[in-house]
Amino acid sequence: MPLERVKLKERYKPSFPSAEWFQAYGDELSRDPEWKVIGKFFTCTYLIDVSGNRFILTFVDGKLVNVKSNPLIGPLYSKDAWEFAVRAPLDTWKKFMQRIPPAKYHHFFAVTDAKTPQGMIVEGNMKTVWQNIRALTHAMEFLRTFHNIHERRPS
Amino acid sequence: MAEVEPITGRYIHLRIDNSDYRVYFEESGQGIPVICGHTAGSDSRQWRHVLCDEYLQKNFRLIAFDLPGHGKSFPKDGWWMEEYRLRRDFYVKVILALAKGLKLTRPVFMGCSMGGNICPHLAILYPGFFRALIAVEASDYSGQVEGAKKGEDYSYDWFYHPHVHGGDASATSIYSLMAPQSPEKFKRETWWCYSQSAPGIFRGDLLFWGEEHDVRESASSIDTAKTLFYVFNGEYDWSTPPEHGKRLVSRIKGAKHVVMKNVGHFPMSENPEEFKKYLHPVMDEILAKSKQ
Repeated sequence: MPLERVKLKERYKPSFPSAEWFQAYGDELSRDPEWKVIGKFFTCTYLIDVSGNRFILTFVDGKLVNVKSNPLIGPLYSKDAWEFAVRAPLDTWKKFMQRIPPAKYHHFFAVTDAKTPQGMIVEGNMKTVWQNIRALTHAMEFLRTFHNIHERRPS
Repeated sequence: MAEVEPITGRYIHLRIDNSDYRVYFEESGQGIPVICGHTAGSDSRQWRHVLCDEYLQKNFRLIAFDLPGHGKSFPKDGWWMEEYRLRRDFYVKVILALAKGLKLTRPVFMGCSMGGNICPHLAILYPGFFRALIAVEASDYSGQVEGAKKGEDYSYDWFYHPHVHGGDASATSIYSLMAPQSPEKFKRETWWCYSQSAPGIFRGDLLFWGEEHDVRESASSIDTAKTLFYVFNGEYDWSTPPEHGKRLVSRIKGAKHVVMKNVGHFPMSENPEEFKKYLHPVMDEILAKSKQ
């Protein structure tokens, strides 16, 4: 989407990755015109792993309602269950979120392909992934959109 | 005043394997015939920019067709009783039947993705029939062949699953194959065409593209003295990157490799202006050699 159409909050500039960053990202995503069309049925909880830094994102009807960072894992902590996880080293996330990414890192499907060096790994309930593929892909691509507007702003 | 493009569409009936197929094709230009083959799960609309290319229209009769079950070509009668799977032999028969049905003299065949992968098969099975083959986004094999033999859990079934929106799934997956530099409008148009593919068609085509297609042992038999052979690959095409096309070229003596910068898997539809920069010199070469 055209970057100039996205407006940011002035108050702070959280860094990636952090719960605050994902919350700000979720706010901007909710204002994205395309998301308003294709994201309204997106109800899903998934985990984003950045070099071991884990964030659980919960979407309800297209709205990011909760971000939890580095939750405890185990049977006694099952309230924080997720349906699938997207894992990659920080360097891979950075390449993916570049304004013009290099080939093989330029789209969610490309960077999750098995042939991509240090690519993203998607694991978990693949049916949920495919049932939400259009909205999920857009949400992932919007990480790049948000990152590039966000990073251009002065601290 | 309303603009009318120089493309005219018609239907031809082809008899293949005892079945009648009503095949749609559209064309423009005049001169050396060029049959344009679409990608898996899509249709002839992908070639609209090439067919509207005034430079090419001067010396080439540009023909884009819809494989049965794609675009405006219906599948054969009784299609509902079979699981769709594109077979190499059938694919070749359609192309040859079209060329012979239209009485084309030593045509060029230019195909993309599965259309590119069929090119070496055309050269191997019908040496000299085509004056040139332009294999866009092609490889010698996709890798899934060996994966399938090893029992790897690689499946195209998600593109044809009752709980998954096949149009969304197919279109969203292929959008990733296009370069970030390509115009958004044309990338979305490519997405749009895929979203309209009939149920099971993309999956069935991929079974040829990913599993059946394998010319590692046979490509060396292609004689480029009889049929010119070109392989094009876009740098952002993660499914058939330039290194895969280079493998195919290395197996065919006299074949030429064209690597396209800032372009992905659908150069003719995602960034037609960029594609023309690479296509025109090749077409000029074909034209020049035809005059010798």
